[in-house]
Amino acid sequence: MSAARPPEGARTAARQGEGIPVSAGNVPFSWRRFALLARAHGAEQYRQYLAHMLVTGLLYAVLLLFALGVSRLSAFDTGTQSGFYFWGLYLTGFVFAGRYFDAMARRESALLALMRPASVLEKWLLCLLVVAVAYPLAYTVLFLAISWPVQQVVLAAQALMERSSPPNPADYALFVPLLRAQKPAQLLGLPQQWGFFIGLWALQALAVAGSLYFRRAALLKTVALGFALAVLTALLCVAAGARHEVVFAWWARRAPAADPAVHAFNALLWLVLPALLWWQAYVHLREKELP
Amino acid sequence: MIAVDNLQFGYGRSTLYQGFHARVDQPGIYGLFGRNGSGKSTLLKLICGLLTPWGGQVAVLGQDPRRRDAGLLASLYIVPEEFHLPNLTCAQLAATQGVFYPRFSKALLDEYLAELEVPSGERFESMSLGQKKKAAIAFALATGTPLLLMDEPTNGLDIVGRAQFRRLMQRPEHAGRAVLISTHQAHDLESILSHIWFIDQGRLALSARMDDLARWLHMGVASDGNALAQAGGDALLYQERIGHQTAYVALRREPGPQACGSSVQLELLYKALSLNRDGMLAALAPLRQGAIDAEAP
Repeated sequence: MSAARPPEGARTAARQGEGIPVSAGNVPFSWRRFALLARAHGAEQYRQYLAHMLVTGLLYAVLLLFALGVSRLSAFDTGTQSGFYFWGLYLTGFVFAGRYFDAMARRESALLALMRPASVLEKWLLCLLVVAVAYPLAYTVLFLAISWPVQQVVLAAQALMERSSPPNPADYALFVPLLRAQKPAQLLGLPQQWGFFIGLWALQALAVAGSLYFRRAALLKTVALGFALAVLTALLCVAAGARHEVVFAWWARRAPAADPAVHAFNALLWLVLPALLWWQAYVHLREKELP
Repeated sequence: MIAVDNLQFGYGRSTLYQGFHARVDQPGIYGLFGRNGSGKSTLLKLICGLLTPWGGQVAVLGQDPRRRDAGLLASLYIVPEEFHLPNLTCAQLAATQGVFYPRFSKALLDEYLAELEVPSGERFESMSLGQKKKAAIAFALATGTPLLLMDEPTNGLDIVGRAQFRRLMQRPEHAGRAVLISTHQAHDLESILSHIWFIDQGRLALSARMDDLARWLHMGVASDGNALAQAGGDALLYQERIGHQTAYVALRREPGPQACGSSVQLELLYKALSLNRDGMLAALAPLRQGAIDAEAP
């Protein structure tokens, strides 16, 4: 193979120590390349991500205004906050995941994404990191940044309005996911919260896989597919006589039954299924074509 | 550098390639010609690994492009006809994308951008289509990849831009690269091509060096019938009226001297190959030996 040589004096990226050494070659994973991939992704996408967070924040603020107005400031107890948190996370997290590979919807930008010199594994790992880790973290920070001042206002306003029987501040404690609450009986338990997070990751994997599989209107088609799968699964569960306690055994407040079949079913549903969906996203990325 | 053996590919039920063979063994600028729908862009995508062959083999720099390994992707770059640039400045593009290519040169990128008169401080979103195309070409050239594929690179460029493009392609730093250019703009590129490929009916009908074509073919414009008879004689392969004159392609009675590639008029040759395919290919049979050798299993 003959290789092109830059002229004397031309400073190549590799010489400057910024680029990837040629020796990185075809190894499936290189930290250096992964960092550069993340940097390139960030440079291209950060405006879109900021816009997504802005819209998410605005929607949450509008929802809070509506809910607090209707309920005369009572709809901000910790349990309601956790509901807001997870509903918002599921809705926006699904959309965010479905739009991660937005470039694939257009031939020109898909070519750029597919031909970027990084391995499929690195591209998939970056997606996993951004979608399943960075986004929930950023969403949580945004949620807390909006909820905390609202909580202060609600507490102060309620103290003013109901001087005779002021609300118990513990009922309106700020919901911080995966932290033990002061009054756990009112809240989702930590196992339940983990269950919600795992469900979110499965849903996000479905959105990512759908965006890579479908060529047109990928998000809509994925929603339709997800809905159909959910209905089918529910029907199967009903037909098989599976009870709620079995399907959600791992996330129940009470200790799960010692039945190995229940654990096997839960492992299948809550571990294998999300892992399979993410694997499916990897396969679709690897097999992606550009007709 | 590129080895395509017995390639079979199509879309849906229609077959585009059946037993296509081609080789790029040495650096140079290869012009890829063929009629609309002959599969030129598809061939570039197959070489990049963006499509999966139905059968046969495609090897690029000794690797299977369909695997899209990072090392291979860092060794080849494609400028598609419909291209996309992220909304960055040229400097940001160099900092975030150039670093993936081991031989990328920011200094060369700056030179190319200056030569092409691209405003390097502006974001791509605020540039015209032609400016964006120039920026894409400048970046592709600055990557320094051993293999560069371009699909209609001069589309969208004005006359000055096309001349600038030709000048850049002829710079010495690209001498060691293999550049495969798919185009219909034959006239834009005839002065810089070292080889031509002509695709027809799913096969590489002609693969020839420009110098060899110039030695074997005689092309020109005859003012009248006598001049045409004198120029072409019995070996006239193609002619067309241009006003009162006649453009022609004829086989030389004796092969001409080496290094007379500038006398090949690609547009005329392209028409001749398209409209008198069998006659041209029969006349160029000695030249086609290279392609025939490549097609041999």
